[in-house]
Amino acid sequence: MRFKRVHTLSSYLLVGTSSLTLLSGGATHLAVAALTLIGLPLSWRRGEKASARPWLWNLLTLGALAWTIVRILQGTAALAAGGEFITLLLLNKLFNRSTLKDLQQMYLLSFLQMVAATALNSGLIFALAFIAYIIFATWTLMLFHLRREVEENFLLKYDDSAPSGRPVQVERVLNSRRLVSGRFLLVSSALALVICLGAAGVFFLFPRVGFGWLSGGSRPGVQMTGFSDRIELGSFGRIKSDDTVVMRVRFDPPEARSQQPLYWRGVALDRYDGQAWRKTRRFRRGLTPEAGGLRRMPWSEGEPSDWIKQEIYLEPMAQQVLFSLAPLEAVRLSADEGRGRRPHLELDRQGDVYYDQRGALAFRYEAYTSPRARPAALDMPLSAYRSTLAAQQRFARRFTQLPDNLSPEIAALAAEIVGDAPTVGEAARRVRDHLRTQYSYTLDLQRDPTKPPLDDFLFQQRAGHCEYFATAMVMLLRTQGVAARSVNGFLGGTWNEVGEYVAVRQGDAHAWVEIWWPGGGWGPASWWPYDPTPAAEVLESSAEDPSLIAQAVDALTLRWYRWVIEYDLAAQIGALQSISDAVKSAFQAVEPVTRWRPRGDALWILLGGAALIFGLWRWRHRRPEAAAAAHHAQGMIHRLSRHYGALGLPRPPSATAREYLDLLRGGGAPAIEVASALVSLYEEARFSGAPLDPDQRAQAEAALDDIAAAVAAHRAQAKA
Amino acid sequence: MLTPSTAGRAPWPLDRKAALIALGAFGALGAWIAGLSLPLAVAFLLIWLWVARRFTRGPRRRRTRLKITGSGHAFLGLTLAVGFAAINTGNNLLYLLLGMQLSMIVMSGVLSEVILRGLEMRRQIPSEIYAGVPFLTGVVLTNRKRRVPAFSLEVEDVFAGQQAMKKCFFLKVPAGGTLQTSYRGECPRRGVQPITHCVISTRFPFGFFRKSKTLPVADELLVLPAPYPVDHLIRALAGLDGHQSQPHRGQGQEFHGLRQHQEGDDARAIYWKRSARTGRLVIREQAADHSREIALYVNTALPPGGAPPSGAGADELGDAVAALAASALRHLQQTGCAVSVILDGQTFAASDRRGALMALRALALMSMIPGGQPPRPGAAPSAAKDQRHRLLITHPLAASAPGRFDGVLTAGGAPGHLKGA
Repeated sequence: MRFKRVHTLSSYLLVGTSSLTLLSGGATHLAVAALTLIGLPLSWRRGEKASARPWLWNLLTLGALAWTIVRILQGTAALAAGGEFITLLLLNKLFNRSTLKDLQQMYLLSFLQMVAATALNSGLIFALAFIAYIIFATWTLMLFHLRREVEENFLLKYDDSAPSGRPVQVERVLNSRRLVSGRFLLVSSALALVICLGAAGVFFLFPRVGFGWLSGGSRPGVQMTGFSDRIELGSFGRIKSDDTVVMRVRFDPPEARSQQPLYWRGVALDRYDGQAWRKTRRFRRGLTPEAGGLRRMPWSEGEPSDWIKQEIYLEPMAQQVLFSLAPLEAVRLSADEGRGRRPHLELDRQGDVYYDQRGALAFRYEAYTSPRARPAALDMPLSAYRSTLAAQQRFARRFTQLPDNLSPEIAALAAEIVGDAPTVGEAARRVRDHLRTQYSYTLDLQRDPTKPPLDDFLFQQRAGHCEYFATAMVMLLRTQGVAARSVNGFLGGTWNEVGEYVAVRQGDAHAWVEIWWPGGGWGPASWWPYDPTPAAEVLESSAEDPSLIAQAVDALTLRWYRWVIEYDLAAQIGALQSISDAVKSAFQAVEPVTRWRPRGDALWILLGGAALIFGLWRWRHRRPEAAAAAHHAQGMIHRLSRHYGALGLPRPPSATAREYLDLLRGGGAPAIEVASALVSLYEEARFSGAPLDPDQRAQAEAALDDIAAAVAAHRAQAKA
Repeated sequence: MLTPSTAGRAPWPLDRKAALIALGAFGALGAWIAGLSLPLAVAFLLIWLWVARRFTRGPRRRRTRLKITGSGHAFLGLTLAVGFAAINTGNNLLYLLLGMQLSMIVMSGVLSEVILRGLEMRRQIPSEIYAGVPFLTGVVLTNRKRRVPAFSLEVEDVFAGQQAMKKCFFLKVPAGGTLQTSYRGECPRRGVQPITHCVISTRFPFGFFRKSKTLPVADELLVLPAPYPVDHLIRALAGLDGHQSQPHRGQGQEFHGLRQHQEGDDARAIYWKRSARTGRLVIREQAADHSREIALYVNTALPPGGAPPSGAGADELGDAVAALAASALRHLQQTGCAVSVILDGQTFAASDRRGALMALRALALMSMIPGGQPPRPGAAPSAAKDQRHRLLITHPLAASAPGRFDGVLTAGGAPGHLKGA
């Protein structure tokens, strides 16, 4: 391929990569994105030439500047608007590139696009684009350098026969096919990968001691409904088909994940007004860490070793709610290990835990959950249960609350279902089973807007999704005097073989019911879950198991966010600690080797081998005869210079042996005739290519001895 | 008087180096066998080798230099800016960009070092170089690396105590390949011009840095005195004794005759007018000047008592005399005379090209000697039989030559300005 074409191609790959990285961040205006996508190929067709109407392009640049200012005034983020302006400037340069300076400016603008993209596009796509960018940048900068050398050197400097200022060989060299080959690009790609490794090394080792004068790191979060203080009935239906991963969970021990189904409890809601659920008590208390960073729940008993540990990586969410299996016993935050600001954890009266973290970053924590058995209190007679509940009036009012407009048919239906159930647990089971068997699950709701949602679900549609089932069960039980509440969270998740974690998606959002039982205290331990939603349908309606490639991408995304985007001082210290441990264990592994000492035959074999290696080295580095002769000759002159140096007459580095002799003669050096003979011998040894014969060597040695003696005598005389 | 220098330490001979290395290696081995732990023994050996290398390699010379180019300054500035932004914002992707930039800087240094390794340079110096006359010096660059080509190389020769003369550029030297180019040089003065070393530099791969390496490839140029036209002077001198050319064929200036062209004749001798008229190639023959045997006596003696008057150094006087002698020699030889040069008692018979070159070399190296012996043609025992025309080449500030000469050519105050005597 012709050199110039390869260079143009690599330049376009470079600016194309940076432009697409910026555009894929989604913050660029559609018009700018369209202009870029059209302008790139058009400018390629136009080739390298300056515009005939530069004033028009200057005008367009001013227009782009004005557009940017207007965008900022309209409320667009300055960085996004700046990225757009850089892109427009780059387009200008692409259409008007004619000199090396234009190309240099193009590369600078392309780099600035990447800088802008660091803030506007932090997804996994940046990682891929970054690797591609390094490869293309390595190609482009190398080729650009060679091109500049060609244009600078072959144009004027080194062709004296050419009239000044006229290109002589430049075009010929630029169109040469021999200058760069596929191998050149392959090797430079390998170098680019080395640069990638270097970049990774710097990235991981550069101390994260930011001053934070400007904004902190952030990335786009997950937009979700269903976990705020007020939730419209039916909101889950809109997210059930969304495959976006919300959280990823590792279990310790890993077998704990086999505890099916996995109910990731988020928020509990106590008041239903006929249209929406909401929380009535908003009081929250803080959870402070004890030694070791563990934040225990007030009802917590036991030790972490008895609990199921879940390492949870929660995507940034507007509602900062912690999810975990129930009942939650303690939480440990990763942020507690760092030096930065520690987030607050707050617990409300329903046992829901909220966090407070600035910036849109993922939240990492360890949740500890105790395994539990079905409480015996659920077997309490229904009448005794009602009287126990009635003794706690405020509590009973909250969790047996019914909407004002609840139709009497619902209470009648509840009485019919519960019938003569002997215990509270049996009553709950009957309601749950009724809903599971008599109603069907659907996301395709056919609602009658003239009727209240629950009536419509129970008596007309007889189909709905989890929220309707949960709401119906709570209302049915409450009409029968059973304290119940609706809980929102996630159900299940997908096991990721590649990353070995459970990936929970938006589509796994779920609602279920909790029944209060007496004697369990006031925390979540005194509530027992029931899920009235037909389980099979729930699982079927969830997203299909992703392919292995999709799993790998998700695992890669997790690693990207965890190890790059959210890499901080704590992670850095942890990584260094891991490296230190690995080195220590490596040393321990080789300790038996270092303790070994050769004895007996092994000793002789080792010594013989060492002598052999040394002999081979010596033979490999033997000096050729001519070089040895020259080396010997140089040694003679060095010794000569050393002798006369004692008299203040050393050989200047630039002087030839003959010139040095003249200097000695001019300086009145003793034994000058002997020195002259020695210089003759030197010239013969140095330039004849053959070594001196033994007689000549002896002659040279004798001459040097004579000179040394003469110099010594001269010095003694001078002293005297 | 010369000042003492510290550059007198010679590199150790290979045998002594080998002995030193062997001593360290066997010492470390022995210490390990005796109970020293392996890492410590290895560390000891490495330190020993490092010290031995530094101690035995002779005078330390700064062999590589690194200079930041304009693009390099811009790139470093950009790197600093990105680093500043990364630290302030805590944006990890900026740290990645910073890592890329720092890696490129390191890679740039490593690659340029690799490029400069395994290069061998030799010169092809023309056999005749004249003072003030441009000449082409061939530069042959060999890349000894077996797999890695060398890109973007500039080679410059450094003369003793001077800046680089002129650079030559190699865009690509393939792995194991040899390329040749040349640069045009010019030496203003005659004499020996030592080239102390050459500097090879590259800005590859990104043009951010210029890395230079000194190769101790020394050479000596012998610059001959530059000849210039002296026809009118010589012609005037030739008329002094009424000597006429004899009718023999040769390379003289007089016309001798015409003959038919034969194979092997010099094409420059073809008489085109007559050839066109007769339709056959005709050669124009010149008469030889062999009867004119001329001895050029070069006066290198300055009056005793020291330096010449101010404004004219001994070297300048020598240059003027040598240039005049070389010009006369060239001119007389071209006219077919048998010329010999007598310089400092030595006679150089410039009857052929080789002899003339020897004479010119002697003229290139001659120097004016205060209190020296002026040439005395009459003093030689064979002077009475010597039928040669004797011309004295001298300078007005030189010591007067007492002998009898057939003519005197005097170099003026400045080289090239002549006075016939």
